[in-house]
Amino acid sequence: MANYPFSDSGVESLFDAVQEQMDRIFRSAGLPATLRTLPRGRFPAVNIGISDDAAVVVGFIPGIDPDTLKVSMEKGLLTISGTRNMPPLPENGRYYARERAEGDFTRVIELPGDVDPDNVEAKYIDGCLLISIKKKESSKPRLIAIQ
Amino acid sequence: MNERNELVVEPGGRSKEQRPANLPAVDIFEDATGVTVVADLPGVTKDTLNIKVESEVLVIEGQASVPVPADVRLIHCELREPLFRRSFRLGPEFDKDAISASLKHGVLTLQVPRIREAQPRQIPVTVM
Repeated sequence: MANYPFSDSGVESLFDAVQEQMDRIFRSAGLPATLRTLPRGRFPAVNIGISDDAAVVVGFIPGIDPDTLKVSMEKGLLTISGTRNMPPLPENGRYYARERAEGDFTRVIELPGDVDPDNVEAKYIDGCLLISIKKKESSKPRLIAIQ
Repeated sequence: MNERNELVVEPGGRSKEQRPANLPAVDIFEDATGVTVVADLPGVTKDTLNIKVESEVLVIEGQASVPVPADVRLIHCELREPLFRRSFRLGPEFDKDAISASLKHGVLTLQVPRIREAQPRQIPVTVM
């Protein structure tokens, strides 16, 4: 199975030419384009970061209506779910490529234990879902004065 | 129709065209008037998006940025490079001056119409 390269290193190489050939062979074999998207359970891509007073989760989910997104938190597990619908194909239209994931998606992320589930903020900007979970006050690093 | 690699290889040092980039997922469909390309570009705004047509190649390039506070340390990363780039070869039947593009919620929709002469048309047949 051809390993679909997700990045373009910008340097022309023999390997890329072979990759291109394999791509063409598999495409013409009529395999559905969805094989080339992120495998199930991996859409949307997320990046997770930690700072001193919050944990930040960024989900890369372009093209959805923010009202259909659901973000919930339970016992330290953050769940992001929603549905991405595609507009219908115009009349007499025909697809050449369908790489964008469509349908329902769910991602569950385990957050470190010291986050405060009541202090969560979520924003949807330019196709990125930005979730900020503040850490519990008691677990923030604190200087202890020596008498 | 897809041409992934850039056309010019620079000898020393990496130019902007050579930095590693992510290939955005695209949907491409065609109807009678032309081709529509829909690309997933999360985190890209109008200011960081660059669409250009050079001879027969259409290049979509965008820089993603997510507003996070400065002291955040990344502990899990699935989308590594913030740069998106993808190029396509356009045949001569497309009207490159009439390409229209719109960006909403991180999704770029590009409409490439066919030149008038190349649009499919029915020829009526008269029976003598």
